[in-house]
Amino acid sequence: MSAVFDDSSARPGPSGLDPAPPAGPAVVGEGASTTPQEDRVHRLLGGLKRKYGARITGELAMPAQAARFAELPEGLHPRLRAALAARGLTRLYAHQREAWERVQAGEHLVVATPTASGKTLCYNLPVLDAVLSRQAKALYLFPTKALAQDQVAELSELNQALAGMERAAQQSGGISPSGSGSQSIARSDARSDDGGGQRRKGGGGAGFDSDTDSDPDPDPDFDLDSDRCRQGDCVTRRGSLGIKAFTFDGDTPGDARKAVRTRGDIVLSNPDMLHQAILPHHTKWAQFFESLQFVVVDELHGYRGVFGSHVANVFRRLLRICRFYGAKPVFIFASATIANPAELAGRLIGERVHAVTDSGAPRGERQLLLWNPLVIDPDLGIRASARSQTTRIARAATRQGLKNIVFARSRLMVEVITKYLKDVFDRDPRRPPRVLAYRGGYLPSERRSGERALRAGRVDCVVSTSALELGVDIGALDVAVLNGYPGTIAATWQRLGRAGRRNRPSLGVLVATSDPLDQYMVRHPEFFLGSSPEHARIHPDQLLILMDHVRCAAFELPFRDGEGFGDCTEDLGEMLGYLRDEGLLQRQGPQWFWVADSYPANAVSLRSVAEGNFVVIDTTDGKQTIIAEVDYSGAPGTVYEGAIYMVQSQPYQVEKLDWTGRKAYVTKTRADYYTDAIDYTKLKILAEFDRRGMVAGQRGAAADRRHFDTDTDTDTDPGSDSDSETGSGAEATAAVAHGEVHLVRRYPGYKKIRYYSHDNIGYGNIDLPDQEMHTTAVWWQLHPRVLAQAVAATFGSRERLVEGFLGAAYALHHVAALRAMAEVQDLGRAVGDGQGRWFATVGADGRGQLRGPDNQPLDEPPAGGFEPTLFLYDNYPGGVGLSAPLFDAAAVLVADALALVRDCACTGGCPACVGPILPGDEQRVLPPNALALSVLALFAGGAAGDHGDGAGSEALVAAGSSPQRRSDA
Amino acid sequence: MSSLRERLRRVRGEAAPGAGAPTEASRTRPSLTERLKRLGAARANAPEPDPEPAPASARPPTAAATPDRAHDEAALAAALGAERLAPGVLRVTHSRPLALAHGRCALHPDPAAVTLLQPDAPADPAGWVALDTETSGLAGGTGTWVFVVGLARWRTDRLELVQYLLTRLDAEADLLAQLNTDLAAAELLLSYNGKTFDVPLLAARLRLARLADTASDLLHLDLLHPVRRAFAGVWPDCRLASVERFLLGHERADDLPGAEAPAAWLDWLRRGDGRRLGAVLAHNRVDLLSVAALPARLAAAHRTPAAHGGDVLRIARWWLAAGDSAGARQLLAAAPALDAPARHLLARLHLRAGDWRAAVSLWEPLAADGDAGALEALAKHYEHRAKDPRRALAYARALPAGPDTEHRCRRLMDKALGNLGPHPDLIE
Repeated sequence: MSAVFDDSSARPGPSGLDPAPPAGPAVVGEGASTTPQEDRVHRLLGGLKRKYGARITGELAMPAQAARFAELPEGLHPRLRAALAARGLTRLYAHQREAWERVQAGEHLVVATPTASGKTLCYNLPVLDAVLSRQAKALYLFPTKALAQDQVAELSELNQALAGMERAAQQSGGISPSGSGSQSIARSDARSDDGGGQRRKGGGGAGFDSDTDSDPDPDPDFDLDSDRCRQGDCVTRRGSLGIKAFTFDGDTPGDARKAVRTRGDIVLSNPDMLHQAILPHHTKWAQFFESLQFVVVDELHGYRGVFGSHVANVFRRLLRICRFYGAKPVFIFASATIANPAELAGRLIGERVHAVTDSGAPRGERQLLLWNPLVIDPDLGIRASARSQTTRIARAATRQGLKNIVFARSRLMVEVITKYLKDVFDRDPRRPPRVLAYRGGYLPSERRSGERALRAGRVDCVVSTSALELGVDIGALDVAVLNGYPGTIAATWQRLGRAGRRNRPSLGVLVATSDPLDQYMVRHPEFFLGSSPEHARIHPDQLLILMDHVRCAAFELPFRDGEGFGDCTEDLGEMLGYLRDEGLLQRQGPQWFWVADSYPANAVSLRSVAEGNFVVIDTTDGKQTIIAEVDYSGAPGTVYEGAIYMVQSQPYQVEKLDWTGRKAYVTKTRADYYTDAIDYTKLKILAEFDRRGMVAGQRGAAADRRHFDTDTDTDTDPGSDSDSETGSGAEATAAVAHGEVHLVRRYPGYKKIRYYSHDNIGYGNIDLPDQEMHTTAVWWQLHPRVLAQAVAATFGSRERLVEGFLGAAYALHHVAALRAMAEVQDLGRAVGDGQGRWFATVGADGRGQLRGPDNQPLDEPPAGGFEPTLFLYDNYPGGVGLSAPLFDAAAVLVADALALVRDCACTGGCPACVGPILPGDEQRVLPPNALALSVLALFAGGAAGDHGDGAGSEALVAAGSSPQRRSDA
Repeated sequence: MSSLRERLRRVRGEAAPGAGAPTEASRTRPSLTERLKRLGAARANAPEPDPEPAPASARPPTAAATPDRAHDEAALAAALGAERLAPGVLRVTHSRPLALAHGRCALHPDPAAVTLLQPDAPADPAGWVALDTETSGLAGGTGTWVFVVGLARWRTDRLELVQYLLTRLDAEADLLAQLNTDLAAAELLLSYNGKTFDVPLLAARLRLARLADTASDLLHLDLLHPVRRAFAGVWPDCRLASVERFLLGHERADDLPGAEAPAAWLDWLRRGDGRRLGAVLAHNRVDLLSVAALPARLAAAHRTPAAHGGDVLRIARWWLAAGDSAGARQLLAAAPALDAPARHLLARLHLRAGDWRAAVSLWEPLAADGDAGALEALAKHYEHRAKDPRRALAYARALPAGPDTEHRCRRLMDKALGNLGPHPDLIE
C-alpha cells in the first residue's frame, strides 16, 4: 500500500490510480492490453475444459466489471484531501462515497463488498476526517492482532504521505509535531510479532494498487515511550497528518500503554483486549471514551457463532461504558459477503445498521468451475478422490506459471495436499520452496514469514485452511482451488475471492468430495450459483455467555434497578440476584455493586469455551522446540499418543501427551502413513423443552396413516401451523423434541492410513479422558408400538433398525446443516437411547452395533425398554441456538432427508446420502438406503411419499470416525 | 422471584440429571439457576465461589444473604470510636505525640530527609500527607473498592491520623468528596507503593463517582522506590513489614494480615458483622505510622548506606544520577567493604576527580584476581597516562584472548620495542 503510486502509474491500462479521473464512469480493464497472465488463465481454463469436460458440472463466467467513481466529498478536511492526493487518490469508488454520506448522517453502517474493493477507506475516510476536524477518537477492532498491526501500518503510511510532499515544498511550521509515538508503538508491536516486517492489506481505496507491495519504509530509531521521544524525531515528523494511531494488544509494552490511552486518536485493538483490558479499566480510558465517536469493526463476517455471541455482549458492555462517559459512537462495520450483514451488525450492537453492498470497485474477469470427480464404482457411489483432482489442477496451474491457492477443509488435508505438491515441485531441497502450507496451529512467526513469502511472490502455490479467508494480505493470486465445499456459500465466495484482483482474470474451481453436501452442490449448480450466501447467526442471549458478560458488566459499573443490558431478553434482575447469591454483588438501594475480589473478565474467553491450548514440542535431537499449537477441542483428535502430526508436511509422531500440562511431545518420523482418530459420542437427555408428535397426512398425499396412541399430543402447540404435527386427538407415529443434553465424546482409537493408496493399515488405541459437554439438541423417537411393529414387520431385527437410524442420522445431519445455515461441524449427531445406557455405531463390519456406556459391544439393549433416539446436537457447550430452529423445521428436515436419500443415484447407499457402505451391502434385501428411508418415513409420520425439495448435505462422518473436519484456522 | 427459588429447590432435590426417562424429564423450561448450574458443570470458568459461601437453599432469600437493609451503623461507630460524617461514612481520628516512638523511630517531620528523597518536595511539613488505603482486593479494575482511606498529617507536636471507613456502598461519593476536601491543601503525598496501587485505585473511584481526581496530580513520594533501591538486594523482600522489622525496629503484634481486610469488610456488608473492622483500622494506622517514620531512616540509609545495611553501589549510583559524584565517591570510599562493581565505580569516580593513584590502587588487587575490566583499565593507564608500555603490556597479556587483546598487545609491543611512529590506533 505504500509508495505504490509511481509503480502503478507506470502500468499499462487505466486503473483507479490515474491521477486524472475520466469524466463519468470509466471502464476499467477493457482497454488493457492482454497480459500474459490473462492468456495463461484462459489457456488453463481451456485445457481443463477440453480434457476434463465430463467432470465439469457447472460453469460461471463473470465478466470484468467497470469501476464506478465518485468525487471526493466537498467537506473533506483539506489536509486529508492533500494526503490522499499525495498517494494518488483523487476520487472514490461509488460505495466509498455512499459510506461517507451515511456516516455523515450519523448512521451505523456496514460495508459488505467483495475482497479488494476498498472497504478500508470506507471507514478510514470519515474517521480521519473527524479526527482532523473535530478531535474525534476512534476504536478499531480486528479479530486478530496481526490484522490490527497491518492496519496501523497502513494508517501510518497515509499519515506520513503528506510529510514528504510538504517537506519538499519547504513547508515546516504550523503543524503539530506528532505521530512519532504512534509510529514507535506500531513498530514495536510489529517487531515483537514478526521481526519488523509490515503487512499491508490490499484494497485500500480507488487509487491504491493493492497488487504492489513494497519494502517497509526504513524506520528512524524511535524511542519506545512517546513521552520521551527526542526532538529530532518530532522535527522529522512535522508535516504528517499528525494522527496518532496506536495498536493496543497483548504485545503493547506497559510503559507505552498510558500513551495509547491518553494520546491515541485511533486505537486499534481486538475484541479480546476490549473485553479483558479496556472495559474493566475504563476509568483509565476516560479521556478516550469521552471523545469516542467511531467504533470500526472489520471482518464482521467472522463474528458468528460463539465468538459473535460473546462479542455482541462485549458491545453491550462497551455501550454501557460509552453512556457513562456521554459518548454515542457510530459503528462502522466491514464485512465479506454474507446474506445478512445489516442484520448481523444490528444484532451485535442492538441497533439499526445500514448496509452498503453495491461495490463500485472494478473486478477482473472471473471464471468458476464446479468439478465432480468421476464415478469409479457406481454401485458403491465411489468417486475418485477430490484430493487427487485438486492436486492435479494445482499442478497444472503451477506448471503454467499461475500463482494459486488451494483451500482444504482440515489441517490434516492441508498437510496431505502440501506433501503431494511438494513431492512434485519441491524435490530439490537446495532451492527455495515453491509450495507452502498455511494453517492455524503454526507459530505466528512461521505464518508471518509465509505471508511475506507470498506477498513477495516467492511462492507459487499455497495450501491453506480457512485461515487465509481472513483479510491477511498475501498479494494477488490467479487461481483458487477449493478441495471440497467449505460448508457455506459465504465461505466459498470468500475463498474464491482470494484469486483475482482488479485487472486480471482469474479462475476458481470448486472440487466436490463425496460428502453429501458437496454432491448436492455440484449436481445442482443452480443452487450454488443462484443462492445468496448464508446468514451469519449469533445468539447473544446464550445463557452462559450472557451470564459471563453480565458478571463483567457488573464489575465495570454498578447496575441500577430497571436498567437493561442491551437488547437482552433474559430477566436482568434474576441474573443479578443470582450473582448476589454467588457473593459477587451487593445490593444497596437501587444499585447492584460488585464486591468480590476477582477480575471476572480474566475467566471469560471470547473464542472458545474450553481453555488451554496444547503446544506441540519437537524433541528430535534431544532439544525441545515448540513447533505448533493445537486448540483444546482439537487436541484429543490430533495429538493423541501415536498420532502422526504434520507441520509443513513433515510428519512427526506423538510420543507422549501430557494432558494436564497441555503438551504433546513429538519426534520426526518417516512413517508412510497418517492417522485418523475414531470418536464416538453418547448422549443423555437432561431436560425436554418441547415435544411434538409427527403425523402423516397434512403434507404428503400418499400418507400411509397409521394410528397409534400417543402421550405427546398434550404438548403440542395447538396454534402452530407447522406442516405435519398432531392436531389435538390425532395420533403420532413418531415424536420430535428438543431440550438440553449431556454429551460425552470419547476417542477409543485411531486408524493408520497409507499415503497415496489410502489403505487402512492398522489401528492404535487412544487413552484420553472423555470430553464432556452440556448443550441443546433436537431428537426423534418412534412411538413404542410403532417401533415394535416396525422391527417385526419392516426391519426384521433391532440391528437393522439401528442401521436405519444411523443412515437417517447421516442424511438428517447434512440437510440440517443446510437448513440451519450452519456449518456441518456446528452440529453433531448421535443415535442412542437418550439415557446414556447404549449408543449405536457402525462397526468395522459395516453393521450397526449397540455399544454400552464403556463402548463394549452389546448383544441386547439393556433391560428397561428399547427406545432408539436420533440426536442432532448443537456442537457448542451450552448451545448457540441451533437446535430450536431445527425443532421448528423438523418436518421440513425429514422431508429433505427423504428426498436426499431417495433421489441419490446410488443403488444401496453411498457417502452422498446415508454414509459409506461396504461392498455387497447394496445387494442386501434391505440395503442401507432402504433402511434409512423406512426410518425417515416413520419420522415423517408414516408417510413415505413425501418429496422435499432438495436437501444438500455434507459429511462429517458416521458416528465412527471424524476426519478432523474442523477447519480451525 | 419465588419461581426462581422454587426451581432452585427442584433442581437441588433432583437426582443425577437424566436419571429419568426422557418422557419423565421436565417439560417446562428450567429456571435460570438450574440452567446455569447444569451448564456450569461443564465449564472451566465457573464463577468464583464466595469465600464464605452462603448456601442459598439454607437461608430464606431475604435474610442475611440479602443485605438491602441497613446495618447498625451507629453501633459500629460507637465500637470503633468513630464519628458518622454521613450515612455510610465513618471517620476515626487519632492523635499521636511526635516523640512517641514507632519501633526505634520518632515521628518528627524531617524536611531534609524528604527533600533528599524528593528534591522538589516542599520543605514545610504542613503540606505533607501520608496516605494508605485498604481495598476490597488486589484484582484491580473498576470492581475494586477502596473502603478505608487513612491520612496522616503533621501538626505542631503530634501526628494526626484520620481514617475514613465506607460502611455503605452507595455512600462512596460522600467519602471521596471528603477525601478531596482533605487533600485540597496537600502539597506532597507520602505512601508505600501508593503510586502504582492506592492512587490509581482512588483515581478510578473518583472517576466513577464523577469527582475531580485530586490525588493523581499531587507530588508523590512513594517510599517503596527508595526502599527497593537501598534494600532490594539485601532483604528477602520489600514488604512494609520487612521495612518495619529491618529498618524501623517495629514488630507488629496482633496485626490483622492485610489479606484478610477484604473479608472483614464483606462480613460487615453482608451480615452486619463489623467485629474485625477495628483490626483493619488498626492495621491501617500502623501502615501510616511506618510511612510517616520512614523518610528519616531512609534518608540516613542513603547518606550512609553501609551503616544501615543498604546497597552501597545502587545508592552511590543514585547519588551519581542526581549529579553529585563527590557524594557518591565519599559514600563508596567510606564503605568498609566493596564488591568488584562498586570498586570499579569508585575507581571511575577517583579518575573523574583526577585521583588516578587512588584508582590504580583499587584496580591492582582486582587485576591480581584476573578481573578483565581492571586489567584493561590498568593497561590503558600505563599506556596512555603513565607512558609505561612494558607494564601496560604485562596487564594486556593477562586479558582474555581475542582480536582486541591481540591488537592491543601488538601495539604495546611496538611501543615497548621503541617503534614509536604514530600508530593509527592512537589517533582514535
